[in-house]
Amino acid sequence: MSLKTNLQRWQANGIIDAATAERIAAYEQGRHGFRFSTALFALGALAIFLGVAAVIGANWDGIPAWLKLAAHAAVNLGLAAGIVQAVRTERSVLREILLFLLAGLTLTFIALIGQVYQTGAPLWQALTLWMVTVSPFLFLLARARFTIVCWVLAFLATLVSAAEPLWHLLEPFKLDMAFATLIPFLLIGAGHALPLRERWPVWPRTLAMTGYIMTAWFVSWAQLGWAVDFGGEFHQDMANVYIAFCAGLAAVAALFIGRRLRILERKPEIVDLFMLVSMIAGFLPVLMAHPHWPVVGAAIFMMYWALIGWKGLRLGMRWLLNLAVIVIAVRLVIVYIEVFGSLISTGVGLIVSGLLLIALVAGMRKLIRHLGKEI
Amino acid sequence: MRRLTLAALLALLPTLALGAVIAKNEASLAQAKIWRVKITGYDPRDLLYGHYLNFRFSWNWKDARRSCSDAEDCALCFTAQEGTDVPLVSYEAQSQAASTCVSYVPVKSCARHSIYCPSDRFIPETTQRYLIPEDAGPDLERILRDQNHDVKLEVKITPSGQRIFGDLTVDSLPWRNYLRQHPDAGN
Repeated sequence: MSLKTNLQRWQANGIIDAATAERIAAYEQGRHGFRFSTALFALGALAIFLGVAAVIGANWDGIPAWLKLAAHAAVNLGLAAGIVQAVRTERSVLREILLFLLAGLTLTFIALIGQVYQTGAPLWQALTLWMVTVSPFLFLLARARFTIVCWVLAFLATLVSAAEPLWHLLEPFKLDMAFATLIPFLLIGAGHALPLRERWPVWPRTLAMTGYIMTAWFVSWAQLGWAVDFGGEFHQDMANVYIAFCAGLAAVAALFIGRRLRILERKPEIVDLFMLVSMIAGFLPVLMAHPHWPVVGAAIFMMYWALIGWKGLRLGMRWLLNLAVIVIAVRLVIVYIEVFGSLISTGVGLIVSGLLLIALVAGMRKLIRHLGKEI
Repeated sequence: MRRLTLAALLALLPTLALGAVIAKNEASLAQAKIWRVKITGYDPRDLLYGHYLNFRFSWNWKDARRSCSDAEDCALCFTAQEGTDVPLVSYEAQSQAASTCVSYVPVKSCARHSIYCPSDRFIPETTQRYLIPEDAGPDLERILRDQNHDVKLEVKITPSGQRIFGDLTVDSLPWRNYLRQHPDAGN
């Protein structure tokens, strides 16, 4: 529903007067105007970064290597000087653009060094060097969500690229899966830590959201494990799984205790319940013996996303509830294609799915309206 | 003021750190021994991978032993041949390589890892990559596929065993000069 419609409705119900409605409308219009120009600035910065990356990628052979390196270093030093000036004069938009550019051009500088010296260093080393050098100034100065989200994606890409060496490092101690399991918890812990939330704008919320998204993603995909026959036999590689499961449960307990001790931001119990259910649902396909059971996987998947939808409702995150409804509906349709093989049975299944879907959506809409009134 | 100072230091950190990396690379290159090793194409269907040339080294083996033992960390040992900078290579135990070889590059035995070899370890027999300019790719690919040319790659090895690729030569000429002198190269 548009803002204008909402304002008219609130005015009609006596919640706000005409003057307040006008002030709200004017404020929102100004904010959106600012957001639009900021978005264009961000796109411009992104275009510059991609352009520099492309020029370096073309391996511009006409320029001596020392000149390329010196020129790139000069540009990066100039950006650093610009950032300091922007901080000093409190020009936040300029600061954010220059921060993004410096972070991006640090990566292209690393690529240029690799290109010039051809050391054959693996990607994870280059990305790790990049993260180590740019994270400090981004943590201190960056406040734009676009930049922070880019950092999060870069962080995850670095972890993925380093998966193999990390595996070699941790697998002898059976800690490889535990490490992967704990990453979302570390992000959530950092995001909800009260000392950080009080002193560090914007970042904590994005980190916590990343942790929850990672959890939902991995647990959703883990339900595919029900499609594989699993005898449940204990063998050496299972030790990694059991350790990871215990680590996950310990992390859930740590979050719960942290909230009670006021180290972490207090949240409704549904949040910690969600993480507990995630651990159990995520590991269940590899902890208990089962035959080829895709329908069980689908059922758990849909119940899990129903919990996500309920969490969205309890936290006032309407978009999460809507997303959960869509995901469940799509999974329901897929179930019928999985379960039935022939064209006629698939067709009948789809008709039933369509009717169920309509009934589900109608029911959810009624429930949302009913619960929305309660809130 | 304190925040401004901290912001300045942290904003300078990436450039200073990478400057240190460049200085380290230059110092390593100054002490590196340069070898020229013949290369051949790896897969005639896809020699080009983005802006990389895929190739394999055509090593001159010193003896019949062409694998590391399972139990030890190996090194690829470079020994000089008289009158040429093309090396003879052999596998030696890494603990002895520093004293017995002119240059050496650590190579971890794949058998020590149960599933596969770590991708960041130099494995002499596998495919290597060489960064090339965008527009030179097709010509170099044709030359390498042709196999009538003597294509060699400079391999610079530092005293610590780091290997850095240098210039590519075609028939003893730097590849840029060769392509300039032979515009129809590889056709």
